[in-house]
Amino acid sequence: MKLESESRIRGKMKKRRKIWSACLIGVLAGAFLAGCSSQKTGMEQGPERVSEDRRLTVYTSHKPEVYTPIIKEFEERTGIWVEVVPGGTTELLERILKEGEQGPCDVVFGGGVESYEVYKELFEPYQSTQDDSIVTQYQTADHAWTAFTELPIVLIYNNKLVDENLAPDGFAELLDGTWDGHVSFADPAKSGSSCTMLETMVQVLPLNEEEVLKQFARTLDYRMASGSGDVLDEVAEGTYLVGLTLEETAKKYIDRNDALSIVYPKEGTSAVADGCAVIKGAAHEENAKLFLDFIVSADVQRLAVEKLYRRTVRSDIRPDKKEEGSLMDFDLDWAVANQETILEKWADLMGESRGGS
Amino acid sequence: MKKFIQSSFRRELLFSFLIASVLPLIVCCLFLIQMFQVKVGRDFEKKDMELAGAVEEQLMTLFNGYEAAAETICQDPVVGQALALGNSGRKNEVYRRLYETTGGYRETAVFDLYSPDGLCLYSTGNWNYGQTLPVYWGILREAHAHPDRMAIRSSLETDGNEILQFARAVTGGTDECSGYMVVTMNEDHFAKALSGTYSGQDGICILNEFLETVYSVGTASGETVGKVLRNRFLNGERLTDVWNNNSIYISELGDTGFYSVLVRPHVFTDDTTRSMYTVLIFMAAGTFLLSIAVSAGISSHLSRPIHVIHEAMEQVQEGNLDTHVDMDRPDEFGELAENFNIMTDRISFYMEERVQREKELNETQIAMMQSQLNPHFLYNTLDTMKWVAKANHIPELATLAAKLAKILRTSISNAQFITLREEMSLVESYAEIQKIRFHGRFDFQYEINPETEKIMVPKLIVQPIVENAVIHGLADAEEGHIFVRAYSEREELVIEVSDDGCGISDEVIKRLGNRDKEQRNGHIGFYNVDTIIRLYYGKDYGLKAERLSCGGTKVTIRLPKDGAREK
Repeated sequence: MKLESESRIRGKMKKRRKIWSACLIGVLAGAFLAGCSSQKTGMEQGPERVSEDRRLTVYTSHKPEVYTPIIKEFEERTGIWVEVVPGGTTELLERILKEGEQGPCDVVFGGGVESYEVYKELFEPYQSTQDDSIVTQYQTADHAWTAFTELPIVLIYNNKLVDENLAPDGFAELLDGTWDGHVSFADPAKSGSSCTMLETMVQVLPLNEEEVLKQFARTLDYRMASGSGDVLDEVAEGTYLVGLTLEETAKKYIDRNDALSIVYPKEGTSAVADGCAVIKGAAHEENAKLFLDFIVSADVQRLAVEKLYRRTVRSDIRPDKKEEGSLMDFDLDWAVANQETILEKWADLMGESRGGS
Repeated sequence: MKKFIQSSFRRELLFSFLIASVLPLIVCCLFLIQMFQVKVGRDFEKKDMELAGAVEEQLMTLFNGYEAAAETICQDPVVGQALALGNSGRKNEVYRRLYETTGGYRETAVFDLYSPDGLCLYSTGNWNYGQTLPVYWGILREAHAHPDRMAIRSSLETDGNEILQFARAVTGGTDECSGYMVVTMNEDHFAKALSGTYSGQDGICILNEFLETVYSVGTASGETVGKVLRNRFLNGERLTDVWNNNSIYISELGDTGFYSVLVRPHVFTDDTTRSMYTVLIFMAAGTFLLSIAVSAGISSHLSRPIHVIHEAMEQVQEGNLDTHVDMDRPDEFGELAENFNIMTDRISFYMEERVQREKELNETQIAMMQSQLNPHFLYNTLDTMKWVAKANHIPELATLAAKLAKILRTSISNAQFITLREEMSLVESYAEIQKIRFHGRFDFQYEINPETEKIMVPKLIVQPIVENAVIHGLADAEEGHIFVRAYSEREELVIEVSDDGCGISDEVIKRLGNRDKEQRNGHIGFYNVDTIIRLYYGKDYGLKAERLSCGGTKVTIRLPKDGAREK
């Protein structure tokens, strides 16, 4: 009898317990839901999503002051969203090589065309719609790349320390011993434009290759600046009196610091042309081609001349002020073919004579 | 799992404590934290939205102001002419109008008028006079393309600063574009425009349609927020996710296509949330330990008395009825212990009673058994017979009666124990009678050790045995001998009754050994003596019957020398 009632009591308790726990769970669940439901509301979502066909990825070795206005204008005019990846020329080209055709890069913008020649396989040949307006010199047969602007090589000197009349007038004077130890020059292994400068001197001077390199190395006293940007600083600060650089860099620098003056070599000089190319297998090939056309379009070329201190590659745009200096016919193919040997010889000259620095 | 918990009282207790304490604690805390976060979050969110709204409004007021000013100026024919002609002939006139329409806005922007070629001819600022802007590019190009509205562009200056520009073509009321009006806001202008709308922990940035940063200040300074938002947008992620413990509020600036972004510190930083949860975990751990401690304490408090009583019960099971539980607790366990003690006492009492009753029964049985042997009346009659026989000179009759009387006398008497000597004289009397009856067909002798004479034995234990010998052993013999011998052996008194009769059969031995009342028929004496001895002395003593090798029977009686077991 006793056992019976106990189990009945247990049964009742169980039922009561069940009802209580159900109520409790219900209350808690309700509270939780009420709490959680208020996620961030009322936030404006912002712009709509961008579809794939309005995107572009550009790898560029230009400085921001060069590429920003161009890319901004491109965005505004076409409505295409551009992702910019900056870096050094060789660095970017190597990266494109490594990333292969599935890589994110659509267009490479900037860097000497000699480098473009070396990495030609990476590019999708494309003849720009503006091709007819480009000077013949930069019209390539295979259209692997398109030239953007050209930057002549110039001499600079510190006009506070060097009298105008005594300033060097060309490459030959740099080798004759007058300026031994007073010349700043960037390492051609690191700077594409420096390499072009060596090739220019070899091509334009009457001496043979070995002589040119040997004498120039001697003039430099076997010492080089680490980067092309340092050359101008070194000359402006007076550490060195003369330097070799690009017209664009010099003009930009002079705007801020008038201690420098430019000399166009009397032998004639070459201009480093920088290029632009569509990458093979680009995800946004159409947009890449649009970009390429844009940068050689009249507006951009005009801007380059008027605001960016560059020289246009278009034949139909003549700058307001007469351009100074005479440009020689630079043998690009020869330069590409001999680049490696020249660099090797140069490294030898610099290395053995340094003797443990 | 359930079995594991239920198999131990301790574990049940612990588990119940845990459920009752730790679980509600955790649930409550989680609930509170959540609610707190939500409530406070909402409050702050509201404030943030207000702030974002204020920023937006501030900017839009300016922008609308610029637009209004631009519209007026650009439609002004005087301005149009002056720009088209490019001379400064009506310079003051133009400036007057310019300054009039831009009144109140010159703190936050610079207003310039450009010739159709892009040369700045008039400026309310210091630096722009003489500057050029390309007409084929950027904002002027757009203004030229859409002369009926304001163009808006952000751009990067040569000195590295971002500026925001609004431009509108100056038509002077005609259809031709005779120049441009450009409104420029740089970083300082923005700082002034937004001053007072945000505080030190906030950040504001203004982005163009491509989510590129035009201006940023405070925690949003540098281009970080812009870049983050742009990346999120391009990757298809939500723009307003928390960034660096900050909440992000984006609002569109009218129809300019630009956005103002407010960055406010998130109310609940990861640190705060983490510390709240840490506190919760510690509290839960503490409660857990407390539960264990309390449950251990209570369970031992409760299980000890149970254990004590349990042990006491085991003792009782083994027969130790004196077991007592000493527990003077005021609660139910104390009562339980007391009840237990009462119970064992009762059991003990009942047991004793039973034993007592059994003893009484035995004694009664014994008495009854012995009374079978004792009619008083027979004794008196025999006495009379003896006297009559004597009077009539019949000596044998007198002997028979006298001996029989003697036997009866001993039988009637109350004494349960007599000396062995007395018993033997009784046996002798019996033997006399039987000799007369059987005409001397047998001979009776006995020899008892002198030291055994005084030993007390139950009465009439030898006589029935001798009777057996006479009736069964010597039943068919012409001449028989019965010999009784008594001696002491260690602590025992041994009485041997031997005869040289036919010898007892194995079957009978077995029956006698059986000690079963039902089997006695004819051997009642044996049974009774055996029973009496056992009752008095215990089951170790009694009778034994054996057949002798030389013919005949021997019955051995064994008793302890020192008398009956005392009750």
